[in-house]
Amino acid sequence: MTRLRQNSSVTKAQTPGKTRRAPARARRADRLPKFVGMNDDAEAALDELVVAIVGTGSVGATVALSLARLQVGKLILIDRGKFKAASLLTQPVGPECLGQPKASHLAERCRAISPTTHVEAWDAPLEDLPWSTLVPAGIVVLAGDNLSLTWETGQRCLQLGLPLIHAAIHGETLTAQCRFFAGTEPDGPCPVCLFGPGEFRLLEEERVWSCEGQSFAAGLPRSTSGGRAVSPTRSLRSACALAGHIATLSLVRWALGLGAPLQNTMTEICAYTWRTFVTPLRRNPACSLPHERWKVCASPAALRQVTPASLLRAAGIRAGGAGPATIAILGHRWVECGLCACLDPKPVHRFVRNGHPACSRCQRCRRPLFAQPFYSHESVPAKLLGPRLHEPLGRLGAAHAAEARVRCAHQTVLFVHPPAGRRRGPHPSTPPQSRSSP
Amino acid sequence: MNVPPHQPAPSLSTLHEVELLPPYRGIYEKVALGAGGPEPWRRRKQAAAHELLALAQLSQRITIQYLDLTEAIRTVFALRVPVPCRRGGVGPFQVAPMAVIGLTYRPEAALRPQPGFSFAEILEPRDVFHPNVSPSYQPPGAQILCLGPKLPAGIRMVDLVLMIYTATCLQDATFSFTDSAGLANQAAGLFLEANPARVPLTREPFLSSKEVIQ
Repeated sequence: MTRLRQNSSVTKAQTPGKTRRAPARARRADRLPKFVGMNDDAEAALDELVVAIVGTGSVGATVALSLARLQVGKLILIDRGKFKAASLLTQPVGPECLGQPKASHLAERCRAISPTTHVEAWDAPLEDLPWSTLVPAGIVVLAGDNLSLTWETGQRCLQLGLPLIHAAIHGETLTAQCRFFAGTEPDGPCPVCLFGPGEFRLLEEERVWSCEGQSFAAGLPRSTSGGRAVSPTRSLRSACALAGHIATLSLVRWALGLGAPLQNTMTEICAYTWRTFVTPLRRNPACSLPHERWKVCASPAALRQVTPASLLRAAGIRAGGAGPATIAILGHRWVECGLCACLDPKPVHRFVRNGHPACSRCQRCRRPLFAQPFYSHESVPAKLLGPRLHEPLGRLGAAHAAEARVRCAHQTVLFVHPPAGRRRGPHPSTPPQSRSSP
Repeated sequence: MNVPPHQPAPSLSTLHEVELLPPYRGIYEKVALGAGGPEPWRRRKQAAAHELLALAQLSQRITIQYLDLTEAIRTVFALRVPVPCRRGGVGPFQVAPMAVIGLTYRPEAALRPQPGFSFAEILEPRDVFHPNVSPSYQPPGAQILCLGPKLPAGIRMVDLVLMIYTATCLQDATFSFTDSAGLANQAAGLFLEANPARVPLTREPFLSSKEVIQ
């Protein structure tokens, strides 16, 4: 289950008779240098900076804590994992955190360091999060330890046009890596562009499933994130921290427009030789990932009030000429038919929330009616909706919808309600070419 | 076979070279126009539809009833295959001569490995009794056919059809509880383990001797 934790005003109980002294609020300006070549206000840029960190383990935690010390505007921390004993060997945490969810625990620490930073924690797989989770971010840092996460993050950044910093380590050679993907053009490189046969083989091996106990009841008979078998990261804490610090410095350079504009590059530092390599990254024309850019729009009204036809219109698709247009409502599927003890399928024709297997009750046998998988659509062709194109989504079973995705042959539009926060880009002093592909 | 003499004899790996006859070409042209999504996915769907229709043209074993390429590839086809059935899981064991299959190939299946239970559903008959098919007599009642623990990324539609054939007639099915893939219907697994003479339901290959392509 997705869990989001945001800043809370709840404070811990004080010891009776003791006056709690408020921690002295550190002023960022006391430590922030006057960066060479920067004439604009670095503080304002950092205040507006919104960073999403995917994977808050040994590398991601280093980035998050460093950014908290910079008192950035907002941090979005995403990690499905919990701390275990081995975490103490590579991650900047103590034994008190064992068993706790990584993202939430780290969020608490970031808030303690920087109360002014708004911190969101998602203790769930990225695949299960709303499409718009990353929309408010100005930049994404990927510090995951498996290729599935790299794939998913790369895809979301491409879709939303977000720059991506991918920090990684190669423990055996004491090498810290940082890849910067500008994300300005869909034709630019993505992390999957760099995959070779070995990565694809590992990607296939990462996922296993079993039919055992599979009830097929909680939605479509598929699994997006379950059954993953990931081998642990093998590295030294110092190498992880080095990768995290390179990523943080790259991010600060990007955000404040420091130095030469960042391009699509990979920076590597090898502790065996202390040599540094900077390699340009290029698009692989045969990349398996669709290099597709989405348009993100505020919904014309609360989604429960809008009709599928009005979403199509807002996406620039003519009603009646919808052609191959499809509509997907986050967390819902369109169910054409359901099954009950009567065995013959019954028409349903409404959106059903994922995780709610029963659509309704059969009029004849009065037993629950379950969505029939073949006739359930995550993304429903507009032509299947028929007259229901003109009914409000609330009446079609999607009263709690927060996001809708409309796709036609040439574009994909993501409608969000309430509107996603304004994206924080790089500092205005950043030259325009700094966000473009080479 | 309706293959122009100057063309190489088709095989299941060269179905894309088969020229579709007018009824199949008509279906293809209609569904190809409605293909949606990004360009690579549209092209892939159109190629898969062509292969599927070519297979239906070459083999008497399948009849395409429905084909849609709007988002996922969704097809319903009648498959002439013996199907193990038992009403309510307790009635007499029977063999139905045909199955109607709903096959869904989602965009992610072209890119990532997928679980074997994410593709096929047996729509008819409604009382299938098979160790790899979830039973209709237990909620939620959908007869999902599991084709294995994990199918590789980009698996071909035609390969799925062949796998559905061999799985349905028990030529290639999992009976053992110790198998990592598990069982969707344990009662059917126990029954067939106790009645090995019934397995497989046919030894016929997918293509009959007349249809076998040299």
